[in-house]
Amino acid sequence: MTTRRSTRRRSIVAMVAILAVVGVFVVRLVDIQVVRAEDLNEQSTEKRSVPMTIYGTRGEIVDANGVVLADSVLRYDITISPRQLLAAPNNPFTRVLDDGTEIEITADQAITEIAGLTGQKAEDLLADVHEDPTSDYLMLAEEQPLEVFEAIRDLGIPGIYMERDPARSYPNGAVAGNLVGFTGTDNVARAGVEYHWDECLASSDGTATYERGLDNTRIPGSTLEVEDARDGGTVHLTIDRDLQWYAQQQIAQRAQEVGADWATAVVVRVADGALMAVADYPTVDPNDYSSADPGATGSRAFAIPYEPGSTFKAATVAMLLDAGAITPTTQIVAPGFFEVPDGPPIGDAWAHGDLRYTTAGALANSSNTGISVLTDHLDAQTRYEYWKKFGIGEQATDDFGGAESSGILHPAENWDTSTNYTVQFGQGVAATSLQVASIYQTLGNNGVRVPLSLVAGCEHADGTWTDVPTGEGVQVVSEAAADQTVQMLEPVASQLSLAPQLSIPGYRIAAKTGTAEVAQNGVYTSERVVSIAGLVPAENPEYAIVVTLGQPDTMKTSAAVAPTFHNITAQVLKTFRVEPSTEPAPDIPLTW
Amino acid sequence: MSALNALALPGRVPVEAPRPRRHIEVVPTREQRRARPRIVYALASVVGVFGIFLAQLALSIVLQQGAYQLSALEAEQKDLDRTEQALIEQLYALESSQQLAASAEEMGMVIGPIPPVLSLADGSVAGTASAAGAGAGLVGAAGNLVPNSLMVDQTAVDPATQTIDGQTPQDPAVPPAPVADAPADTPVAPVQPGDLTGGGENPSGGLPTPVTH
Repeated sequence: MTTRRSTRRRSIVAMVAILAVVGVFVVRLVDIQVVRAEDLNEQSTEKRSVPMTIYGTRGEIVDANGVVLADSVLRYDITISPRQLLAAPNNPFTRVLDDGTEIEITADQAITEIAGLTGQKAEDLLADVHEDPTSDYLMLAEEQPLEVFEAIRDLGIPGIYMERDPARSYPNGAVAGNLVGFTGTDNVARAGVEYHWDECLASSDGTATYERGLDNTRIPGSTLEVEDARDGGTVHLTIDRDLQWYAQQQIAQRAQEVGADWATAVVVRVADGALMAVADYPTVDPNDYSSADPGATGSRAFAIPYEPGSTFKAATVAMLLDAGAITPTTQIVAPGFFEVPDGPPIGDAWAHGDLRYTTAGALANSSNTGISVLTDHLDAQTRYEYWKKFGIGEQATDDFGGAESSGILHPAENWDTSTNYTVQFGQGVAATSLQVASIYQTLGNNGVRVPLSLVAGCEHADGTWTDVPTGEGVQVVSEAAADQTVQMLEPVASQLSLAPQLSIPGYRIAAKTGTAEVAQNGVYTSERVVSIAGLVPAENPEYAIVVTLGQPDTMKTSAAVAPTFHNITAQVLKTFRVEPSTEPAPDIPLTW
Repeated sequence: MSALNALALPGRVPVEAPRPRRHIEVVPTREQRRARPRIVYALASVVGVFGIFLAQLALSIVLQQGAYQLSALEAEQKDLDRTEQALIEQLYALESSQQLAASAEEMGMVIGPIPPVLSLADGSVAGTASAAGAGAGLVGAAGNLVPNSLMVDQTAVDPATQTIDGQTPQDPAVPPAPVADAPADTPVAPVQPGDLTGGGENPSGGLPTPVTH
């Protein structure tokens, strides 16, 4: 009996023990497979699938013909782990040459090799590497091109890691560099179209997530999750790259010849206000903006207003004609000095007695006193409103953001007795080269001012276009007033003193000279801003051209600009295949 | 059967010795015999299972190999993309205005004057034709004044032959090959100067076509 009882007891104990052990396992199983299943699965997937970045590319900036002015390029940052390189077993490490021989390379030799490829000083790099031998990260060289990347990769140096570093390249250098702008070393837009059109150009990176083995190969059958990268859009400029280069080359050459501090040239297509060229001197090579004059990293033609001088007279005559106050043949007497109540008398650039000019004569000969006599035919407030309609005091385009100046036009009630007259010949008022060009665009376009455009549109990665200029304009003066004014400007290039330098056989050219005095500390000095603004062909203008030289040393009259204006005009005619004029210019009397 | 016999065998009940039981079974019919499992079937299924295992293993190996191939090709594509991008970058730099102007200058090219224009509508010529000046170089003595740090020193022009690198110079003395092998006796209508309008039927400025027979 006792043996049987003890047997039973033992088996009960064994059963309980087994059940307990099984119970523990079951609990653990449920815990792992049910309670913490999600968490653990996630952890295991995370170990195998790390998201990989898919890079989006920043958009290009191209000219009117699709020539690339700014594009995205890849550069590589070369970093190193000094700890891995300097410690055993990597120092020295073994390199197998192409012929199979093995050589020993020490860490210092390797660093010297890298310095030879990046063009850095070996001793500098060695000092950096040895400074903290326990460090795991040291930047050796930034923004290296592909050749260097490949050469260093092929050296097989342990501890080297190369990181992708997208950058911008400007293949045409300073051609339109003033407009295109640039990005910083961090690839963040800093200036110009790069900055103002960043929203169009910017890209966003995507990710690809999949499970992978130790060597980064995708595990077959594992799910692939892709979040697509978005490439940036292309900004199409209205600029013609070759004309832009030519204009820049021309104004730079002339500015250096006559010792001008600065120069601008603007070419506008009259019909739609598209800017064909906006040249600045000095200017910036966006590839190397840090070595440029800090004052020249933007566009002076957009940003810096100046007192433009006599090129404004064309607008004055146009508004007086439009108001019906004068006609092209209105007969006036231009005195040697025009007396201003409570102000200094107004004189001309040359000494003369009373001259019997018509309106056309006063305009073509650029007589300040003659224009002042005509100015009295229209009240100040009306003239102020005309200037506003011509766009003086507001930005000439929406395409350059805050980097464009509105110029300075004081309200008529703030004009003193002198300013009342001087505004009409471009003193006591400030405009940018762009605004002057806009006036001539208006006159050439039958009196309709179309806002200037630098950007023809943003072409997104999916092919859609946005920000295309509407080309809608406002009628500033009547068609008759505009056309008559243009005709009155033709003698400047066909009869008067600069005609031999300005004329181009076969073409009728309307031009207006300007020689403005430059005020410094509130006083007019002997410094001048000289310019010529014009329209070709005069009978049906297609292009408005404004060339300006700031503060030349050796030639302080608009004659300094004449050869440059001539060359750029000839280039415009050739580039855009403008047909020669067929009708002779009307003969408008200049004197009576 | 006598009593002796009966005495001789007292109490002996003739008992039959238990004979081994005869093995009797139902003989399976031929059909039943045929339906019985045979070793060959067991073997076949075992081999089959192993076969499936092996096939799956092979498939998995092939898939894995494919993954590696894919990965290698992707890496190669990345490399080629990089190279293409670097070459495009070089091409753009060679196409820059400054580089072209320098090359043109080196070849002795000059700026042409404004060309005359031939009107297709009435055959009239507007403007005057004149030759380019000998010294009317594109850049001139002033040199390039529009900086470009990407310009390369080596221009695309081979100074020895004055031609673009890699192009064989064409001998200007060789007349161009005839465009079509028209029979020599095919009469071609002579085009009179000033008669470019094709019988005056082209007033809209379209391309004039000489009338041929």
